[in-house]
Amino acid sequence: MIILGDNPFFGVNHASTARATGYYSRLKARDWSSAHATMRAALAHGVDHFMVSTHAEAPDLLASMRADPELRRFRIIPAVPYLHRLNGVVATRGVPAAMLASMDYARAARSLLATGSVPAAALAGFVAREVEEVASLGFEVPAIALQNIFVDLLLGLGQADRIGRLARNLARTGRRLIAITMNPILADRLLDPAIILCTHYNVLGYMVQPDLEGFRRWMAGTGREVWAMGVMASGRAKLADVVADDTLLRFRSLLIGSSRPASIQAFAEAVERSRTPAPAHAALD
Amino acid sequence: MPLRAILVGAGRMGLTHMAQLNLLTDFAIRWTVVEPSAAVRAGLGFVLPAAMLEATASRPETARGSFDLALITSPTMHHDTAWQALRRRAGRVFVEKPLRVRDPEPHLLCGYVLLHHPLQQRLRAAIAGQPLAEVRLSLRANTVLGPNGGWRGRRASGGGVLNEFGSHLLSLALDLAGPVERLELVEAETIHSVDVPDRARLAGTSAAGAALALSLDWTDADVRKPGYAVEVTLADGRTLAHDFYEFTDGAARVSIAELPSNAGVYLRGLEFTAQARHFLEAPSFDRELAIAAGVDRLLEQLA
Repeated sequence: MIILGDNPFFGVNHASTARATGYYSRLKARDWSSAHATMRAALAHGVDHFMVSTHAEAPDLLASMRADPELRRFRIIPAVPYLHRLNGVVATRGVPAAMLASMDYARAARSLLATGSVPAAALAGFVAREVEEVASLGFEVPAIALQNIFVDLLLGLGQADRIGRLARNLARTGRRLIAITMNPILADRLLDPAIILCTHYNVLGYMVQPDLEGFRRWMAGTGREVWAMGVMASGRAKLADVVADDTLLRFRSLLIGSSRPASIQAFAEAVERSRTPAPAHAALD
Repeated sequence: MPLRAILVGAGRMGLTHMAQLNLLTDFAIRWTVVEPSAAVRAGLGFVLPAAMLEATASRPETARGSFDLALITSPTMHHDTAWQALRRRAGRVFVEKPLRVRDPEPHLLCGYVLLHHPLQQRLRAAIAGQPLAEVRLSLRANTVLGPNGGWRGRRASGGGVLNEFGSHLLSLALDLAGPVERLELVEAETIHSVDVPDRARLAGTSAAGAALALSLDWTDADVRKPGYAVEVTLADGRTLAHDFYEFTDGAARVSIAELPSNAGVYLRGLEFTAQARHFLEAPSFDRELAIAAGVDRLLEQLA
């Protein structure tokens, strides 16, 4: 399955300041026309899931999608929490103030009763509020992704069990948890096997951890559901190389972001071709 | 045998560095955490499993024993107290930027993390041994887009674009051009802050005679996040540059995506992992220490 990513719509590019600034000028103008065109191209190729970070601008983009009969078909996977949104509050007012500012008190009280722990309730409330922002717009929300800065920080602090608890809580609402991580082997070792991993992978080895060969060996042996992001290496990888890579076939889903409809179309068609078995040779008939 | 480490200041950066070191050592560290807030100390069980947390203390002087590693990530005004308390009891000491300690020693690494970015290191290697004509550095950020009355906007608490981002730019300038002969504030503008600049331009020369030009603006609504530009013109007119994404040498361009960029583990950025690895493995931190002390001197002069 191909999943549409949101980076270009929100001025994010991991390999070029110029591209990011170009994207951002459209974002500032609340000009979603390019995003909509890309989304229509995605839908035309059966891509109907959209993973979106809960940027401050996300509600505006989602509202524009709800207003469009075609685009409201998208199922949304919110990537939470959007820590950069809180960064300024944390830097100026501290962590407790930031958490309080981002929480829904009624939900926090319910979480507190359910978990019996103030920090666990804060975490659950923090995530739930951001998810609610998306669900309240009327989109189907089949899964929730935890941002890698959050997942990898928790992993590094020995808190993998908290991610597991969040996954079990979500499962009760029929939603799956996707842990975005830049440290997939460690995450595979520490996280509950029901959690989907979404991690950075591309044929260039750009930001592939621990390294390209190590990653491929692990990927060949893991039984976990894994999704890939960054497969085009922020536009630096060649599509022909990307789809010729055997490892790509092992991912259950591919997250792809682009601001150009033609790129989404080309990517979807190339992946489709690469996953379609070649017809048997006529001589075998 | 696990490593013994002490963290002074369990805030956002402290926990990030702690997590980074845990990942790099595969959790072979037992931590003592120093945190003045009783509430934060009581909540440390949420942050760190009991097996990883050896002890807590309210002040660095009262933490017991010796340590392989010490991380000082408390507010800048407390750096020196922590350093003096731990300098003889820790094998390697990391202090967040700016340095601001008395009598620093080579086992002390200051957290000018951009020095460890692969493209900064590539630029430094490319210009090594060649006379420089000019070093130009700039920072554009959208950090402050409205009233900035908190600590970030006040001189007394070390706020302002010069302290927040200028120190990083100065570290890069010293890294490339060496010691600074002269540096002056050419222009400073307070827009949203209380009594510190939100925009600034600096000019000067290095001891080796290279011109230095630095510009900073953290009120730039046209960018989504802080972005740096680093440019060096050699005496022969050749210009090399990077912006932490792309390296250019004249017309030749190399993207970070095309360079080896595997950190082994990853949290926040390649440069953070590289810095943490350097902290764990380098025999001493003389070079980084000279840069950090140089930045302190320059910031004091500019103030």
